[in-house]
Amino acid sequence: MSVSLFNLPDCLVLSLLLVLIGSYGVFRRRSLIMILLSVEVMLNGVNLSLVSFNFFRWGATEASHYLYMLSIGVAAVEAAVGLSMIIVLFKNYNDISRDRVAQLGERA
Amino acid sequence: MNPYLLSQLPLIGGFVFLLVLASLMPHRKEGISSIIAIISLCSTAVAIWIFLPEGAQYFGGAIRVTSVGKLVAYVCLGLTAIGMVLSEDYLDKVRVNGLDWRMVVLALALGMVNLSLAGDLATLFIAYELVSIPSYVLAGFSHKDPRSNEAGMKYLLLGVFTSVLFLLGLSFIYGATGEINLLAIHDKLARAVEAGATADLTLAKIGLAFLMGAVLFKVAVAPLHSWLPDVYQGTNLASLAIISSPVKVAVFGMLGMLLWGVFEPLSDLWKPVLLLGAALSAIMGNLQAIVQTNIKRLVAYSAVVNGGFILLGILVNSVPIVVFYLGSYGIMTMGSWAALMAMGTRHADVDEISDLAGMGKTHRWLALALTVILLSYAGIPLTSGFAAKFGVVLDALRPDAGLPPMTLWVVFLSVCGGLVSFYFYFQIIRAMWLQSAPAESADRRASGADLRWNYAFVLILSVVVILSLGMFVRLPGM
Repeated sequence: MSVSLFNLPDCLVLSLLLVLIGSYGVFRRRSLIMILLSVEVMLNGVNLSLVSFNFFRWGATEASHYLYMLSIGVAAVEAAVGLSMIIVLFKNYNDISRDRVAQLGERA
Repeated sequence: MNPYLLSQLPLIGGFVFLLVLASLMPHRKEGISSIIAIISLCSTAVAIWIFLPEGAQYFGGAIRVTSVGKLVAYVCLGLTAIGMVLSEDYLDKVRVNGLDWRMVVLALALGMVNLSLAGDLATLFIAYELVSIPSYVLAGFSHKDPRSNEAGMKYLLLGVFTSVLFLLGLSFIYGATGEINLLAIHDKLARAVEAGATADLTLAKIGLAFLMGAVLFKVAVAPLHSWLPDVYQGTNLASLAIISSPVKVAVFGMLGMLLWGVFEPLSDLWKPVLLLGAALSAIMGNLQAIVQTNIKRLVAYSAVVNGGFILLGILVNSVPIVVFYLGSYGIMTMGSWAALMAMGTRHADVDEISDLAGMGKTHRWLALALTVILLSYAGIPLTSGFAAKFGVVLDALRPDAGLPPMTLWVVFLSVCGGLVSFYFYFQIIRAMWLQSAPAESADRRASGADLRWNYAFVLILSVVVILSLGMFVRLPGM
């Protein structure tokens, strides 16, 4: 391998960092759209780990490329379903903030 | 033609047919779509039975047929077909377009079948998503109802979050072994355990931890269950029947097959995790169910409790008992939703337990059927719920099972939890038989005479199955 700028542990740390940043966003952001965006960040972290495992350890096969491609496709589907749900939600609530969308729960 | 493709053809064909039907005749009565959906579900089961021999592999191992996988697929398809029969005219009541609904359910069924036949990580991931995404859509299907919107959104956000963790787990497992074929992964892991290759094993264990976290979240095992009651509460009953019964069966079946097969070399990691999940489900599920007044939330917590029992079954490696438990749980859940659908008025569903007051007088047979189902949930002898729980407990008490040390205590805890659960199931039974209905609500209800045939069919079917499984089936080891 001619690339010596990165190695596997660095790439894994970066990908886990992306996952952590994304999950922070999922739990702390108010707007539903920002939450969906945070999930995308997480997913990109996972994709990075898939590709780096393939590049640094198992370069002889391309098996993880399938998983990587599939995950891009699935991310698009999830975003599409999520955005359409947000549109429907906005019609009913006139708001997409997470705090306003809270009718379900224990009856006080 | 490839036998695997042939076996999936009815589902795909049914889906495409409904799609064409929807675009050609948008305002047509929907009776025909229901019949087509049921036919394609049933013929898929038959096609799997005919075309897919056990042990066969297709597409270089991407699809692997196992006996457990086939059984789980049959159970899922059967329960989905029952759910389809149930939805017949309930969908009109909640103003859902039945054609669209059935298309989504057929896509979901395709995902469930492939989840139980998956032979490599890519198929597993795609099938998992094909089960998950339609479930989110189903939860939010009554799009004019804000509560359904909220349920769908909640399910979607948490579900997407966990599917990222699922993929992360798959990625680490791939990183540890360099394979995506499940059999090859199993071999490599077994060899790594033998050789004591710590680095690879650590990677694989991290992967398995992420994967199990995601799947346990999906099946709502305590302490990862807090979203489940909200989703149940907001979802309409027809969608809920699909989400709570066949989807649960498929995901639990997948968890069992993965742990028994691929990750069997790592059993010193996953056995304690399952034990912890079972113990916490028995405690938290039962205690939180006691205070519920909403009937859907109550059933949700009872799903958590039953999930704990299924984890115990997976833990003790008793394949037939887990499949039996899943089937019996699935049919019980279907039956309870059928009863609740039939008890609702023309405009509103049964919501609170107090809404059921006096049902024993106005709807004698419905109340009787629901009582049998609740007794089975509670695990009274002669019902399938009892047989399933008894089988799990017996298997866990086997001396040679090689279980983690605290197992006996967890089994004890689960049985005690079962005793606590009598209280909240009997609350519903008491409301139906011993309390009288408030005067103004009695005349709003439909009388027992105009019980729809599909509710009656599903109720009779589930009661017969519950009783006959409970009385006549001999599980191995009993």
